[in-house]
Amino acid sequence: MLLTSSILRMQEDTSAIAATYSKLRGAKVSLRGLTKYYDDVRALDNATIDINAGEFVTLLGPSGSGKSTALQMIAGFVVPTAGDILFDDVSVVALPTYKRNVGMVFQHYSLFPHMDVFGNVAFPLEMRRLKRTEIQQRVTSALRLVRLPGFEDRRINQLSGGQQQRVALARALVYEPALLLLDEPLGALDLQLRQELQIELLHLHDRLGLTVIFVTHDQGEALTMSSRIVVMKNGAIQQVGTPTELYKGPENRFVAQFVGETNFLEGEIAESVGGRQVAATPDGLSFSYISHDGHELGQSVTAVVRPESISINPKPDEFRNAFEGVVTETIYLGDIVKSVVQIGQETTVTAKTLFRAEAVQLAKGDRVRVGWSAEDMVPVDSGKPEGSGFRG
Amino acid sequence: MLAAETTSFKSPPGKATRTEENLFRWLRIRKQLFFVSLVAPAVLFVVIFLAVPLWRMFLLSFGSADSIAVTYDFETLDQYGRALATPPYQRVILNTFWISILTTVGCVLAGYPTAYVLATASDTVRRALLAVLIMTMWTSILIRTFAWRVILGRRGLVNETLEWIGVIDGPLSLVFNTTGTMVGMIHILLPLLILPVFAVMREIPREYMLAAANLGAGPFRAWWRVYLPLSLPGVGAGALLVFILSLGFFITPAILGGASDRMISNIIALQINELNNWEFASALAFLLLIVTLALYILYARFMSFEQLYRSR
Repeated sequence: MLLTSSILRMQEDTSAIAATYSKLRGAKVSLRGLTKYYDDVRALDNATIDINAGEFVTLLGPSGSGKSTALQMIAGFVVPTAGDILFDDVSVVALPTYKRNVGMVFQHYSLFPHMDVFGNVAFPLEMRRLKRTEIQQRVTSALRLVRLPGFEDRRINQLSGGQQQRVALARALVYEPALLLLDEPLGALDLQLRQELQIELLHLHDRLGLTVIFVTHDQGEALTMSSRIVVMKNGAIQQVGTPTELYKGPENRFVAQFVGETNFLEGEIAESVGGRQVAATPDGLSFSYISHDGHELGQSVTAVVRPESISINPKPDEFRNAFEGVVTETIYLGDIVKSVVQIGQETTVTAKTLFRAEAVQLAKGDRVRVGWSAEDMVPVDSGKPEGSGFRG
Repeated sequence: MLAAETTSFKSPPGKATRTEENLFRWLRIRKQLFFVSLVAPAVLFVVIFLAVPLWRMFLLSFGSADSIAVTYDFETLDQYGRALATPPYQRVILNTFWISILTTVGCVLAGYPTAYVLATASDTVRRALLAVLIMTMWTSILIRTFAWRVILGRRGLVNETLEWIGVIDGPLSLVFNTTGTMVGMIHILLPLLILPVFAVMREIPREYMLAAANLGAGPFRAWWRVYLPLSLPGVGAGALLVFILSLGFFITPAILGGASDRMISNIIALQINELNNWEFASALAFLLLIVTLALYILYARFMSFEQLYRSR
């Protein structure tokens, strides 16, 4: 309800502001072998990414994954140990921060406490020596853009967290940068406000057309917002892809685990026909999955299946992967039900089903059949080798 | 006591009986007595050794030195009038202010960058620098002041070195004049400026300067528009502290200054030690106290300003 109403409100605003706020041209951002060591500690190792003009890319990873280091190097706060950063194919590594013309919203907003809202938003324009009248005009329209019109004279400590976030956003957009960096800007807000601002940010991105690099450790946020996600761990890029690609085809164990919930099954390859392989677990279950690279028979393999791909009590012969088991746990999450089913001596799977009458009836100790299709199961690497150390 | 507690259980909730009220009142008083007993020794000490002598001095400043038996005349302000209207004393008062202003400016110029280094250095460097800073405060002011005589004298370290390098032909007069006084006073008061400035600077998040740079401010403009205004409360507090202490300086101008560098405190000492004029000395001392109090009120205002900034 809340989300819909805020979307409607934004759509009303859009036409009014579109006249005053020109569409920006996003910058293409390329990282070439970008590396940062703090003494012997690796913060970021050989990161190479191409971000297209106008893309919304999320750097996703746990703390210490190097995502913030990458952002700080793009902003110019941290000097790389090796590698290059290009904006529209021009290297910017030698350019000091204040000449990069990059917008940024900090985790704690970093609004200047000794200036009012107008002073904060006008600051970047004053640094660019714009005329007083133009500054006035631009600040007004930037505040309207973030839906805080008339807030010019407020002191920073009079604003709520959400309002501070919007002022920080206005300050980062007022000079029309081609690239906007967001360093966990929603982290300090409560869930409802966070969801509202997520949608608002997406809307701004769509309308302004600038390139956005968003840093977060929240996989849900990353899936919601990004056109592409860069999953990082211990200073190394694990996988780059659209939210769907990452969710459906995680390349390694870490990505599968970090992006969404997942079931892992391990076994030895027993059969390989066409694109489909069958593997057997140590406790005697065999499961089939789709594989495009030629693993050899006898090799061990880990395959993943998402909990929502698993059906409980499917029609007989509906799925290639069909097992019988005992329910060991059921967890009600409101709209969905999570059931943990033991299907082998050492193998359990978690299934997520929509809240329905038949799911409700499941209880601990019930015997059930579970099944999923081979198409919903993909093999993953056992994971890239761990780094020697990490730093956030 | 036991009876009172028993009845309290019987009384209806939210409504205290008479005995209960008495009990709670006694408990509150007991708590207050505890805190009073903690501050009592310090308060007593200050009253006996500061407030009482001050009052005596205040009375004395209205006294007349002409007669052997001291008489007080509150109708006229003879002693104060003498201090403010006699040209030599006027000069001393103005000189006191002038030297204090110079000392404060010198401390700010030398101390601000030092405080910045302290606030931004790594923990190891910061700890080492703070140790050096505190250590200078442990050494006796007298010894440090005399040490400057040796360093700044005609055949002192500075003159000898400059002559050896060939910058100067004859020795510069660096001591027994305003230069000597300034060097000594800045040296002694510098930590008192650095510490409050450092305390305020340490509270300024590093992110502010990053944000300023990100928004297009070069290093100087970022400092001018963001860092300086945020560190100013510390400078105000430190500068006022230094200025107030400068006004009352006695040893350093006496040892390192010349005849024209006498400050109020030196004249007060002279009046008491050599001229035995306690009444006039008291008046001078009270003038100093009034100025200091006025400045202290300013200082307090500055500190509350700082609180304002803190409440981000």
